[in-house]
Amino acid sequence: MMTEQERLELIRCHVDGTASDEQTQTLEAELRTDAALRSQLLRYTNIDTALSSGRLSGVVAARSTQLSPSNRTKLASWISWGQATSAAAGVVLGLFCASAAWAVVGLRMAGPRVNESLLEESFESAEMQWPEGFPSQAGTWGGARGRIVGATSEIVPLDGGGMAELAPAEDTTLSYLDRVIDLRGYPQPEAHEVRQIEVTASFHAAVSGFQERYTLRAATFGEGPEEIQSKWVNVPWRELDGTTLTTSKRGLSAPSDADGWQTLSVMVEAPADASSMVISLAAGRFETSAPKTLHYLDNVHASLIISPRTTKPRNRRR
Amino acid sequence: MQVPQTPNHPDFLQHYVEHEEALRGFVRSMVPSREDAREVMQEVALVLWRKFDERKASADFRPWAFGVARMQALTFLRDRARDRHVFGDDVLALLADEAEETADSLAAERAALEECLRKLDPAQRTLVDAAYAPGVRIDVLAASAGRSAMSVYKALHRIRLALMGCTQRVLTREEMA
Repeated sequence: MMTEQERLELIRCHVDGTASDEQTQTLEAELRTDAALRSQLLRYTNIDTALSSGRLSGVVAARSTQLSPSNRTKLASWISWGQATSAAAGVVLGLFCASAAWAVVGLRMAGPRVNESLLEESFESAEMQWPEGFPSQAGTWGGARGRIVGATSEIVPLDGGGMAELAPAEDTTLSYLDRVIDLRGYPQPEAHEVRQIEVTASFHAAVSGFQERYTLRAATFGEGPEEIQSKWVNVPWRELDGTTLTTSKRGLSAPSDADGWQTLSVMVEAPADASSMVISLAAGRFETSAPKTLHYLDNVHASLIISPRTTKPRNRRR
Repeated sequence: MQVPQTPNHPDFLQHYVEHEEALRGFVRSMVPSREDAREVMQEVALVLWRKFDERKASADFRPWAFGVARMQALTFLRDRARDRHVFGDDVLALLADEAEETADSLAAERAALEECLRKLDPAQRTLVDAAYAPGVRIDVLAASAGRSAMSVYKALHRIRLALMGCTQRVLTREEMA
């Protein structure tokens, strides 16, 4: 018979995505016969979902995982229980939670060893052009027909004075832009570390009143940039599995009354054998029968982060 | 992609907006991460949109939408976690029934959450703001603070439980008033 604390801990592991198969099976068996536990799980996820919705005025929609120095101190003080207490908690949690072993290892680690910018793009040069279709080489853009513009009567660039204006292709409502990044020569993770890349981009539609759909995708490849083919990338995401090392995708359906820039971020693991990464950005109308429109793109960042491995690798495809 | 028949737009939006949060919470109870829940909810929205006019005119939107959400979550779990154990159909059905029945009380708890968030101390608020910002991974957040991921998970767990207790107290107080 589980205690209340153990039941709540099972729910936590499930909601945080750290439950082992055994824990999931235990939770499933309990949920099958215990209506109170089902209610508890739904109330717990209700709170979690509300906090992550960004609709509560109390929750700030920060745009980066990088904490300011003052907030880092606050966060550290809140979590600070002392190593001995944490280690003991990790051992106890090990009975219930698969990630405890990683967490105890993590106690000895500091912050990221490497945090290096791969891309800072705010589309400032009016002369910048890109080919229609897939980019011809690493370090350049390619995609929909477009140009660099300044502020319009309705839209002010998010960063600096310029932004990319993208036109939808004739055969689709989507506007899209791709970039290939050469990862060779960047720092490699050591055995106990994980190398990740965080990508952030901001989107805006030229005309409001329609539900918009924005997508940010990142994929790493073992091949060098010169070998990457557009047919590997410009396919439905689920068909990428055979060619990529890792992938990450984030989509956003912005309501018709959404105002301002919409920012998306993804984090993708870049294993040691990853030689290149492709960033794919797409914007379009949620309703395919809606009139086509221009879309704007600004403030695209990519950072390579190497930090102690505290969780199992994610998103590995092959 | 084939262009779907255009449903009754305002009618669909009215129903969807009314039930979106409840559906999201239900989906979140089945999938292992917020990102997964977002992905499933995009598919749920698309299916609801496409099939809105096909459902029987007499069918209530709420049970129909919960059924769609359950199927989409199940498909997602089976696609993404072939090598992992996922909840069986019978348990998902029980959760769907419970979520549908308690949708109103869960909505009341969400409404009370605003007040409860204001009662958190500044350090707790900082942690909630940081951990629930878009795109944040807890292991990266923890590393940037020089802490373990587990310590962050546990701190968030305590805050969620405190918020659950607080929302109950707020609702009880409102009932008594």
